[in-house]
Amino acid sequence: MDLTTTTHIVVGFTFALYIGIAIWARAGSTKEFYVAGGGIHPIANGMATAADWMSAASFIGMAGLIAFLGYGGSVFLMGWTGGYVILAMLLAPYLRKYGKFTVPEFIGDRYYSDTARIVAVICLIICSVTYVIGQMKGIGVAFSRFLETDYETGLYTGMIIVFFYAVVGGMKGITYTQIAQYCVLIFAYTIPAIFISLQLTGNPIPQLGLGSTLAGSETYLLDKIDQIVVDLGFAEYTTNTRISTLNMMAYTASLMIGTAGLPHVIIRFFTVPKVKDARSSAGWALLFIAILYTTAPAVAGMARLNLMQTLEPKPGEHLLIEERPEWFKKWEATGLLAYEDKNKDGRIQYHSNPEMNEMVKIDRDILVLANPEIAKLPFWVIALVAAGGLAAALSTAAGLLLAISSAISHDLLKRTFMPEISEKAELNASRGAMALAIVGAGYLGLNPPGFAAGTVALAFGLAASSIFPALMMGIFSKRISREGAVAGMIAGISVTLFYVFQHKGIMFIPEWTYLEGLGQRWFFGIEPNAFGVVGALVNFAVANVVSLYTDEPPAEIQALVEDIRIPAGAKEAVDH
Amino acid sequence: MRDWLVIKVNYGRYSAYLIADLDQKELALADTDPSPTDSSPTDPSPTDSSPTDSSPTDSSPTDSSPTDIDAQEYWRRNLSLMIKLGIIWFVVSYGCGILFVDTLNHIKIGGYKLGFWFAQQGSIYTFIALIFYYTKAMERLDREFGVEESD
Repeated sequence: MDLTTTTHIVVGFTFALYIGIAIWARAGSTKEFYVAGGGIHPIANGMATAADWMSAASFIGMAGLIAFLGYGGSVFLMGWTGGYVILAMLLAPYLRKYGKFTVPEFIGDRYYSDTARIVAVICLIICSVTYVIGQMKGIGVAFSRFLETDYETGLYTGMIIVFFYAVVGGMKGITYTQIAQYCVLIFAYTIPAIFISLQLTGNPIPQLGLGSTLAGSETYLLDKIDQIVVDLGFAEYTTNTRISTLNMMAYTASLMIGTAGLPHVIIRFFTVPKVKDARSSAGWALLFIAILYTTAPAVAGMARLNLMQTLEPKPGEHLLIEERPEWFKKWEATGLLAYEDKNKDGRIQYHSNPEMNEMVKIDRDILVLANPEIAKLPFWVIALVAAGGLAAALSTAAGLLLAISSAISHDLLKRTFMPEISEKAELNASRGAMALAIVGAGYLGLNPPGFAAGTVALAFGLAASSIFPALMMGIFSKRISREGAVAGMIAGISVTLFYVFQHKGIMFIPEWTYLEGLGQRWFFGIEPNAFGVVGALVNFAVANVVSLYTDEPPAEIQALVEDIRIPAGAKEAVDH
Repeated sequence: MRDWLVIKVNYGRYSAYLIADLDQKELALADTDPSPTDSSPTDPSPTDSSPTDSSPTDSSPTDSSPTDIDAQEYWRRNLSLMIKLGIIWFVVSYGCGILFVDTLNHIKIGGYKLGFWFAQQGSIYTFIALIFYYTKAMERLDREFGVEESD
């Protein structure tokens, strides 16, 4: 059986599983649609959160990034995991105690203001839409590479699958499919890593393999990578800092608080029965995430070494063009890998100096996808990687779409414009909003706007600078007033957008940059993607100052803040 | 039907009630005579409107809720735990993984330079331990202050 057939069978099986779950887990009430009925076990929710959280970027992109950035790539590892500590201590238990359906709902109620709710809805939609475009692209790309369909067919298939379980099942359907998707993606990620670790180091645990000696030698794997990359003129793998120490700290902090402020992650904690479950569930989520996140640096290092050794099997003896392996030719066909024999010696020289370098194109994203082929693993493993990539993209897309549709049907319709709407009508409205969100996301996936490339990083910056501070101050301060919160959110998100657009152009259109005279990274050398933490500090500062000069929140709001700090008396997530 | 939030407070021999009328968004305080029985509040409201159209004790929560002082102490203990764990969180990631990475890289554990290990492995393991420790410690604190949720 050839690879394409195997892949079709494995992917088809997982899709059948998701549809089966969708039929089994239909949502019958708004409570089931928004928070899966509120009775999800903390371990199950941890698993669903892990799938919700780990996107196509985590599954496909991250190891590739680390492979080329080395130590500098650590910002993604620490940033995308450390946020869960903040979430578990600062947000999740209190928002669960509050016991409502959405993130803007808390902001609107705590700041006793429809304006605050609507600003929060706008911030939520900007964050989630930018994020969902990346997932739709991931689905299309995974289909076209593995199932040999075209990009559009892949995207439509993905949309139909998500449509099925998200519209029918709401949060309930999404929760159970995410659990299945976690299982698929974690096997798909770790099995090739175990094989490769065994091949290279003889140690089956990749996390230990990365720190071991190479099989049949006394040299440590990491020392070998350092030596090879330095010989070719690249920066040392294990010490290559990303721009500066300050920039690395800002980048890590932005990703951490962005993680804690992303609405599609926060709403997952509304589905557990109790406050203490919200705390422990964050721990389970991080444990399940860490299985992939601690494997990723091993995959990265080993893939980098494999790639370098393929290109230069022995020192000074470069790969003959005629002898290049099958996977090399296959990825050349996609345009993601390309060589150019500049010195006409029939061999491929890979070098840091662009004049001498003949590997003119190595797309970072191919490393995880090509890894099983580079390591010559069996077909079923490669097919599993395809299914895993799709599971990662689908699960995150569904979570984001739910955050978007519940903000529309619950926060805008029910809480702002049509408070008299019946539950049945609201349930129908939320299904309609979900269907619209899927079509909208699909459209953006088919016609990605110019800013699609920068979007996922932007989503973190925006969540960090707008939603996270509003939530945290809402819990930890009784003094922040509605004027303070609204001004803080607007100031935080504006400053962040200003800095990002100043570097990359308005809406990421390169011609639309402004104030070029300031130069690049003029703010203490911080790159635009790491700016979210500065936006968050601006938000905190503005909110506090404005609150000092406005009336303090009414007594019942201060009592509400006191109440959410204490677990006792938590109700299940309720409508009213 | 009106929604009441009633918090009963036991402090020594005294009981006090914090009564919130969720419909009217009004708060009232009530205290009882020093009596061991769970009687309804006899002298409501040093502040403003007291509930009249239903007896708060009917819907009174069964779990003993803390006094204001206890609630503040509970929150203070929670904050101090957060700060302690937050320091560890900061030290393993920003400290060991970024600020002091070069110094720690002089130490090697197997093939890992220690600073690099913290940045790519150690910090993540510590984060998991921190959350589970926080969960356990908070469950103890909840029980100590009698604010855990009833089953």
